[in-house]
Order: sequence, then C-alpha cells, then structure tokens
Amino acid sequence: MDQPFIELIDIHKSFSGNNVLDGVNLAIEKGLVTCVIGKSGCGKSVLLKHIIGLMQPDSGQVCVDGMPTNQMDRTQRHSFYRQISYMFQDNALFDFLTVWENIALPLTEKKKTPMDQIRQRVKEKMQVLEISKHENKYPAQLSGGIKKRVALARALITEPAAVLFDEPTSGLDPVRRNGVHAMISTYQKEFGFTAVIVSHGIPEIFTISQRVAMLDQGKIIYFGKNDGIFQTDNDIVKAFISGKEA
Amino acid sequence: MPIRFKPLVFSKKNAYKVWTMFKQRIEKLGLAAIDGTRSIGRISIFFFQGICLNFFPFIQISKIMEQVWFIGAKSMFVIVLTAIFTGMVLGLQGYYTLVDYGSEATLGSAVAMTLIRELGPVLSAIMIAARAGSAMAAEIGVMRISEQIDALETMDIHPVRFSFSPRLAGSIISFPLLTALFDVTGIFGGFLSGVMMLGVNRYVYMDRVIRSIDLADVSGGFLKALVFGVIVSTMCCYKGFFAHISGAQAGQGAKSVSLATTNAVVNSCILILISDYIITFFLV
Repeated sequence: MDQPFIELIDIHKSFSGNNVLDGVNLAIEKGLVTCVIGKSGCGKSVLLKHIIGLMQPDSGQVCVDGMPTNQMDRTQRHSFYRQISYMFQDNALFDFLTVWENIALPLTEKKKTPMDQIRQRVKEKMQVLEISKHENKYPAQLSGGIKKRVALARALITEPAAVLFDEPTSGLDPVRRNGVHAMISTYQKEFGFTAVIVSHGIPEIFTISQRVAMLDQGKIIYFGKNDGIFQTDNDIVKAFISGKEA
Repeated sequence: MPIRFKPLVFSKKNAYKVWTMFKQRIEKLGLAAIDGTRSIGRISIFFFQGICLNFFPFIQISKIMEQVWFIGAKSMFVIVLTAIFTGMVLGLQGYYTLVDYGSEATLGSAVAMTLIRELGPVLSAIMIAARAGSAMAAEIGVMRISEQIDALETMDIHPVRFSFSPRLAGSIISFPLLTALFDVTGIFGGFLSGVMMLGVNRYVYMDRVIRSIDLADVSGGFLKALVFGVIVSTMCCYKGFFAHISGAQAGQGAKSVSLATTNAVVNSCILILISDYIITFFLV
C-alpha cells in the first residue's frame, strides 16, 4: 500500500476522565472519499478535529505524508493546515457577513490573491453550487440546504487538497441529503480532493465513499472498502448498519 | 423551629476532621490562585496579540473604521444624554453648596474640573462598557459557541486578529473622543442648571470654566480615557473569546454567553474604578 496522505497513529483523547478516543489508528488515502460512521457521541467529530489541528491528542500522532505534525516546524504545519478545509456540522457561517463575503473570507483576509481573481473564483463556485442568486443575503435568510452549499463553497474556495465534512447532511430531509451527497461526490471527482466524511446517512453514504471506517468505544472497529462492510463478521458493525442495537 | 448548628469543639477526636477541613480550604485557595494567575497570563497574551496583530500582516483600516462607527458614533446619544444630566446635577449640587459660602461664581470651575478630571472619563467609559462592551462580549461569545472561531482557525485566519484587534483599535480611537464630547456636553449641562435656572452670570461661568482648565487636566483625562478604552475592549473581548472556558460550568451554550457578558461588564467597571484611582494617584 502507498504512503497514506493522512495517518492517525494510536490517538488517545479523554475529556474529564472520559476516554473518547482510545487508540485510534486510521489511514486516509489521497484522492479517495473516506467515510467515518459510528453512534452519536462516539467521538467522530473529535477525530476530525484532531486531523485539522483544532484539538491535540493526549498521546499518539497525526502524520501527513509520513511526517508527524508535532515534529513539523511552524511553516510546515501552517502549509499543511492551509491544504485542508473543514465543513462544520452547523456550517459556522458568519452571520454578520453576506454569502459572498462568507465564501470569499479565506481569501480576502489574506490579501495574497488579487481582488479580481477573488471575485472570479467566488463567482465560479457560486455558479457551480447554484447559489448565485443568494449572493447578497445573510445566512439567517437562507434555508438549511443553501447554508450547506455556502459552507461547501467556502470550504472549496481555497482549492484544498483535503476537505473534512462533519455530518454535512444533518438536519436535512432525504431529498436534500441525497442532493448534498451527490454534490460532494460530483465536486470530489471534479476537483480531486481527498474527503473525509462523518455521516449518519447509511447506506447512501457508502455509494459516494471508497473507504469506510467505523468508530466504536474510542476505537476503529472496521476499516475497509465500502462494499466490504456488508460482508463483515463484526456483530457491532452489522447491527449498526442495519439500525439495530448490538 | 430554628436550626441549631453543633459547635465544632477542638479535641483529639475531631482534630483530623479540622485538619482535613483546613487542608481543603488551603487547596481551594491554591487552586483559585493558580486559576487567577493563569487568567492574568491568558489576558496579557490576548492583549499583546491584539495589539501586535493590528499591524501584521497589514492594518485592517475598514474594520477599524467599522468599530469606530459602532463604539464611537453609535454611543454618542447615550454619552450626550448621560453627560447633560450629570452636568446639570453638578450645577445644581455645586450651586447650593457654593452659595452658602458666597462662592457661586466659581460654579464653572467646579463643574469643569470635576468633569474633565474625573467624571468625564469614568462615566463615559462605564456607559460605553454597558453599551458597546456588552455587545462585543456577546458577539464574540456567540462566535465561540457556534464554532465560528474554530472555523477561522481552520481557514488559517488568526481569530484574535479577526475578532479583537479592530475592536481594540476602535476603542483606543473612540474613548478619548467620546470623553471629550462628555466633557463639553457636561459643562453645557452645568450651564443649563447653573446659569439658565439658578441665575449665575453666564460670562462669569464661562470665564471660570476657561480659566480653571489647563492642559494637564485635559491630557490627564484623555490618558484615563485611553487606558479605560484598552481595559473595556480587552476585558469584553477576552470574556467573549473564552466564553467556553469561563462558562464551562454553565455548559457551552446561551448560558455561557450571558455569563461572559455579565462578567465582562462587571469586571470592566471594577477595573475602570481601580485604574482611575491608580492613574489619579500618579497624576496629582
């Protein structure tokens, strides 16, 4: 197997004595969609936050192209985090900024990209995601589905190498859920980014992902190809994907 | 029936109990000291980051102007209203105190000196803390609990530079200007009650105002306003920024934001009064 793009090695994390991650090992391959499933509150979002550096593990390592992030110097670490975008469960859009300003924010704050290029890139992303007519609206004036698209546009504006999606379909109806899944799949193929998706949308999520990992009681109890999950002997995994208590 | 507490008698039997209680108190005191020191460290780093990040990588002129508009221009009405009544009360109280000694002609000096040296900077800072400071704490607190601050970090945008630096700069610009407005309006308030209502000679009043003020009084007042601006913006933004830590026992929701906002305003007001005494001590 090739060197994974992002690798989590024996990650432990606890909050007030409660072990949320208890020796997590996970390899995320470049250009693939990896889906992380598990019960609510099992630590999936915590896992994603370790990848993007919002949380630091109590022990263990997060490696990028084989290099541990805790051994990187400041510049290396910044350049790695710049390659990753994160789409929050509740979108985390700035309610005092318009849709256009929200999407352009990662570029306008840096002033490294000329303004005409920023305008062009935002326009392109809004057209692709079909949100152009909402350009001047504020997040409070948008529906849940449109907010997700705005959050996705903001995540994609920097043309990242990897995008982490934290329950991108939470709170959406089945039609919009499929729409968001299709959208992620389409743009992943178009832009070729590595995707890690935390989702409860079973089994639809398996159709857009190439790898599936299941987190249970702080450990990855299944990791493999998406179609392989239906053949697994693990009772917990079988019960979870069929919606039953193990 | 009244509750009767059993008195704790110091004997060999309960010596261990007393020792444990004493130890627990000491532990609590130690923990509070550690927590306090940690907070002082955190607020100092927060403040210095806020100052430095105003200039690096570039000055955020438009954001600073937005804050000057919000903190300064939008507080003008509150300041004018507070100042005019403060001045009128000073005129009224001053007149009836001075008239007993036949010194009502010095009313202008009394009003002007009190306002420029003390009441102007202090009252305007307290009013701005209540109006703009609470808004700062609540806005940043909501940004924290709705993961917008985390979102900034994932976008490689420094959250302190984004949320605090423009507010700090805006406060440093706005506070002295609002204090000046308070002083002028307050003197006019004193004029209204002293001259228009109680009959002090208007030329004498104005002459006393002009003659009693020197540059040191005005610059001392502005120095105070500047310090209060730093205190209010730093305390309010800090409380909002760390709403998830200070409000941990309240959970990370609306309650923690309300707690952060209350603490921000109360702490700002207390610090304003303490620092006012310290600055006055060195100025007089």
